[in-house]
Amino acid sequence: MQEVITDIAHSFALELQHALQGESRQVAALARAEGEALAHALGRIGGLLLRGEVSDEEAGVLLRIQRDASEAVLASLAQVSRIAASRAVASALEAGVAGAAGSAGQSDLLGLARTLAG
Amino acid sequence: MFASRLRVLVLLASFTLAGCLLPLTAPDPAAAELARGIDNNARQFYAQLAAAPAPQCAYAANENFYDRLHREAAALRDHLAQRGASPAAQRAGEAMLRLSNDVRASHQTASARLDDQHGPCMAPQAIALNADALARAAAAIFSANSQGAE
Repeated sequence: MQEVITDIAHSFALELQHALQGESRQVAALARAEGEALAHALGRIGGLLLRGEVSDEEAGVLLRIQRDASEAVLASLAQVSRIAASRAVASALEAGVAGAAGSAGQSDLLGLARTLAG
Repeated sequence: MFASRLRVLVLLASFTLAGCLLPLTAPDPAAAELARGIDNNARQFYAQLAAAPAPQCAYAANENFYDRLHREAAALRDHLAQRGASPAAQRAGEAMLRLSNDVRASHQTASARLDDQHGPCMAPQAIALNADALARAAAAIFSANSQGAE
């Protein structure tokens, strides 16, 4: 599971770096750290699902919470840098999630969390 | 999770110290203060919630916190809009407001399901995840508005 999470974190990082092209290394590092936090959170939610500690509905809300948090973090990063914020951040987040889900053979976040849990 | 948050804060600090950040306008101390308030209240609440037995752990016993969180997040969002903050800053404020609604929904959903090992309480890891999400978002908004932003 740790390897899959690492792959997912890498996928997020690539997407975010693409969105942050031309930004400083510091901004890219912050974005990478957030990508890693999101990927690890997905893994933990997957674990909760696997152990039956949360229902599908609850897991869906937990995933939404993590996306909200990442969006706030990345938008704040955009705020302190010069990138065209909202569109770049949104596309990075969407592409990162979609790319990560695709690489795990899943079409949605909940499926991705299940894969991570497995 | 704590390590990730710490890393973000350290990187933000080094970012400023290295002089790589070019403040585009003055810092917004009011926004920073609102974000810090959200962070402090959330930390205190989730620490208590993690130790609370049923029925004190149930959503019904904690509704006041979520009402307050929503008010604080709405105040932050409104402040950023009224100040004419950048689209990015306003997006962060909107995300925080959604976050406040979603953590409430998370607790409500957990308490409505009684046939699991945690009864009306949230799973401890779910509490930790929600606490971390709020802390991550609040810390980022706090840092951005402490340093000066577009």
